[in-house]
Amino acid sequence: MPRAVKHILLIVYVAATVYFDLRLLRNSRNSLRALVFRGMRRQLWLISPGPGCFRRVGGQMPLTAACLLDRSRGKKSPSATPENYLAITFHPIPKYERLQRMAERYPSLDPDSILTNCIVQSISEEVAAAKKEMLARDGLSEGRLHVLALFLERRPQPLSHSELAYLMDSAIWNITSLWTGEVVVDAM
Amino acid sequence: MQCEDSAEYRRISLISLTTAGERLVEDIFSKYFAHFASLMGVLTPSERKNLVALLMKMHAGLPAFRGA
Repeated sequence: MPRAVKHILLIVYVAATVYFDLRLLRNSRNSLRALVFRGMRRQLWLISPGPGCFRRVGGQMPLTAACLLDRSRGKKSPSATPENYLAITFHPIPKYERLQRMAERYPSLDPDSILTNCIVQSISEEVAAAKKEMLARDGLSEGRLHVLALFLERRPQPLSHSELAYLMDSAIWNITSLWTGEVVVDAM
Repeated sequence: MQCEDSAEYRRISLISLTTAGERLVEDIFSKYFAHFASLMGVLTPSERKNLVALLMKMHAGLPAFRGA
């Protein structure tokens, strides 16, 4: 086989490998439970409840639950201004007309109840994510906040590992790294 | 955080917040609660009560949904 052909085949092989590796990397990154999105204006640290719950929207308007609700009703939300940064959307809220069309096929489907349920779920997830984002700015999580609250409540009395584990309703081996001043309770 | 050995049992470590830690945690807590107040402040007390009642009503239907 001529040398030039060998080189071409090698280049094609390397290019294909890199391409598929990048695709694999992108897919695996999407399925990580903890997703970090770097926005142009702000950083969002959000913990996903599971794969496929979040959708990244680049270069579009930030979609909040309220915007989605307006969009599902065919209205343009006044709060939805086009801004070029990454935003997170939660479970997509279906359009009311689409639900009505589906109801023709499935008589048990009540568009109002589906829409209400989607809105409740979406808003609760958005509020939970906002809380996590706010705590993450101080390097905290809900678990860490709970531990710190326990220490504040019990002051000036110190706590032992077992007491802390009991109060946290957790196993003692989950309470680690206290000697270094870092409490690891994320796994709880 | 500070860690000290228990006077009674040497194997037990006791952990408490230092004064600086207490100050830091109190700052974080007051900031956190202020944020929370601004989030829930858009609802009046009676609206909050109604919201909770409605959500509890929805929650009561959850066993039937799970069993379906």
